[in-house]
Amino acid sequence: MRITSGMVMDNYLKNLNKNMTSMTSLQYQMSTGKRLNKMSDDPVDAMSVMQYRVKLYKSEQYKENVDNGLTLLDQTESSAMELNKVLQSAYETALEAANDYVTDEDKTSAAALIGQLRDHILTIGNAQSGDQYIFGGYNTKKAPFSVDASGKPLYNGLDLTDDTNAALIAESDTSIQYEMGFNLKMSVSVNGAELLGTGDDNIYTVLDNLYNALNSDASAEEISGYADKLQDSQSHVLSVLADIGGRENRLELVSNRYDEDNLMYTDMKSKLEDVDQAEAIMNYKMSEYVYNAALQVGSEILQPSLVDFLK
Amino acid sequence: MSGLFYGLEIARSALTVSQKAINLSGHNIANANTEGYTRQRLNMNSIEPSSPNVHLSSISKGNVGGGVESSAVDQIRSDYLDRQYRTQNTKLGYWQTRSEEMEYIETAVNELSDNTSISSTMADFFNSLSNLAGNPSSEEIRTTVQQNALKMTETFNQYYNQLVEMQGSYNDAMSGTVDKINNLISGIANYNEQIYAYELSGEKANELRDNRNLMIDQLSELINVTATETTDGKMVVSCNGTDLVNHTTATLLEARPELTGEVSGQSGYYQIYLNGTNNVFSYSGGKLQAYKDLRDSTSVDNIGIPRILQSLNTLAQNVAKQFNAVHSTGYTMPYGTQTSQTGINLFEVPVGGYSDITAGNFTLSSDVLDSVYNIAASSKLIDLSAANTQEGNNEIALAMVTLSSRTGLPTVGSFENYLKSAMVEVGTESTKCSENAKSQQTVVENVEDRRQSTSGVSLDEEMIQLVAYQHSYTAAARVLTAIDEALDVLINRTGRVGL
Repeated sequence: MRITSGMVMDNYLKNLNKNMTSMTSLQYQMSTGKRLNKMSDDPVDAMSVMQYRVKLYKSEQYKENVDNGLTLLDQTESSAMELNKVLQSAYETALEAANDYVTDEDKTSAAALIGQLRDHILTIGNAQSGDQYIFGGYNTKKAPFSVDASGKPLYNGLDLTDDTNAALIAESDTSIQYEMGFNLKMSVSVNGAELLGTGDDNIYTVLDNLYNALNSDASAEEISGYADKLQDSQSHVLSVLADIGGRENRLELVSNRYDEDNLMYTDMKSKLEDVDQAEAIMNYKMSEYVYNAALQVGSEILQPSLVDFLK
Repeated sequence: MSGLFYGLEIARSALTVSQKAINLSGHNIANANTEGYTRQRLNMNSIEPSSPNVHLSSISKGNVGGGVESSAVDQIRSDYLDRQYRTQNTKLGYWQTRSEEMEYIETAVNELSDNTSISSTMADFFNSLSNLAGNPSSEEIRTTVQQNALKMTETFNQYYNQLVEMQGSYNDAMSGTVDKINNLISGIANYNEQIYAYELSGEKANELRDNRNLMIDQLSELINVTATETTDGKMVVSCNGTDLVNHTTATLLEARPELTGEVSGQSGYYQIYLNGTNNVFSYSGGKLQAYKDLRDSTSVDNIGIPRILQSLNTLAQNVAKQFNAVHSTGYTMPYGTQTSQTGINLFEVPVGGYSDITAGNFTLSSDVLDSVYNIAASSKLIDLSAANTQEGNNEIALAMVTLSSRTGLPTVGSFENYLKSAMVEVGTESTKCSENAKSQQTVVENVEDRRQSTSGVSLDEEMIQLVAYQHSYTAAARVLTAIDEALDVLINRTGRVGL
């Protein structure tokens, strides 16, 4: 094939240009640190990177939700444990007073203690985490427990002793839920009405009745009847505590899993997206070497022609 | 009988032809770097012995020919390679333009960015909804939701506006290309006239032909053309059967701004007609086609701006529809004199309904923009005077959080997946275009190499020719000298016996 000097120069230029192109793209990769700067660099990998990024966002958010939920449950747990202690104390006092040889004065002083404990129940029920009330269901801004003029306990304004009230039933069912994972909602609160119980056997009313009974010199049988009710309440509170503990365990497992997931996704995203600096520098040096060699060769083929050799 | 003066003629013809050949070599060397120049060669014929009775005359055996004459100056050019080059060049013009523009479009919709992409602002919005579910009555968190939602809609707006602007620029490029085509068509018709007139004299119009071929090459980059020269020396340049140049008649193109942009609805988009008629110009390739496809195409194997706009619009419409459906069943928080209300939309719905939402007018509803308390997180009425205010009720917020990860939604499947595949489509198309452009570049380079190999000037070759003709000129001068001396003997010294 006949070769003209024009062809030689054209081809030389084109190849030089190709070298420069690969050098600039390697340079760009090294300076941004990323192998994928736009989607066309590698569309399949770009899709995976986008997927991992979304997963990372989500699992970071879920972890935050889990941590917030754990905080709430912690507070709930310590309040419930306090409630348990109160019940224990009340139970022991009631047992002591359920004896025929106990004097009236002893009964009155027991009554005073029971009265204090009864009032403390309300304080526990109105516990807060930050500025939110944790036992009020969706009522997070106002104290859920109060006492009306006749001494009846109110939960969110409803009479706690009236367990046929549909509104009360609905209230005692609500608890706050957080999203802990994909399609995974978990309850992070305990409903106060459910904890104390509704109807005539709710803890406040039992203690109130015991207080009145002790003050009015009731029989040992009556008092021991109240002690039994207190024991029932206590086992209910203990089972709630177990439930909270179980939930906390589960949330901690989930939280650990999210930590591992975050590491894994970050790692996989980085493998696809980031450039291995050592490899990139080597590639760059290689293409720079090729470029220099091309330049040198060019200087040798471009200059001489027959004109130089004719006299 | 051929005499000495016949010999003079032979020598003279040698000198003339050598001179011409040297000039031609000089012409080739001078034009070695001219674009589109085809090397020229002098066609030489040896002259027959001139007597008409050469076969009959008994004295005229062993007649000598009359020297050399130059018959024509020929171009060394291959029509076949020209045709090949033009076909491949049209494809190159198409793919190169497409590949460059797709790369630019990619930077406008760069979803790989961690801050300014729709997918990252959408993820931030979803996350802030999750925070809302954690503390629905907090004003700070509500403000974050409003701000993140606004950032998301503004990113949609930005993508849309940039893409529509690009669509407009392709429209302008089409008009500019039509102007270029018209210039080339008129130029070719001009050259046709000049070449025909020149060649009537029997000479070949080599330089004019070179210029005309260069113009046709340039035209082939813009649209697909076929150039054929008829036997009577007239050239026809046609595209898809329409004659653009027929000998000296040029049919120009006209760009009339009568279309509206696909999907974007912008006005003033050009339709190409044959000048002065209502016939739409049909073409299929080259830069003009590339701009048109980018401006108009909604198909999946030939992605243009309208397709991307369509995807963004669909996504915006469905985000608005689905979130509004959930949000409007919830109750807002009361503030000032405003009580808790339901039926409030999160995203603005224009008068014409959800199908009128585009990525360009996608925004939050005026209620939510006015006050962050108008974001509905609760499933029950919030009454600040009631015993249970329902301020902690986060059921609607939770429902919106669930919605953000849901799959199986109508039309889009899941928001994130729909966005991802719509955008990666752009990336894949860009890769495909740049690969095609590269391989087409190699093909065109190959054809151009072969053209150069046939028609290009090789300085070395011309130097050798120069040396050869210089020698033949010197030798012819010697012949002249020999004949001159013979003549001198004949004229001056014959018949002078005894003088």
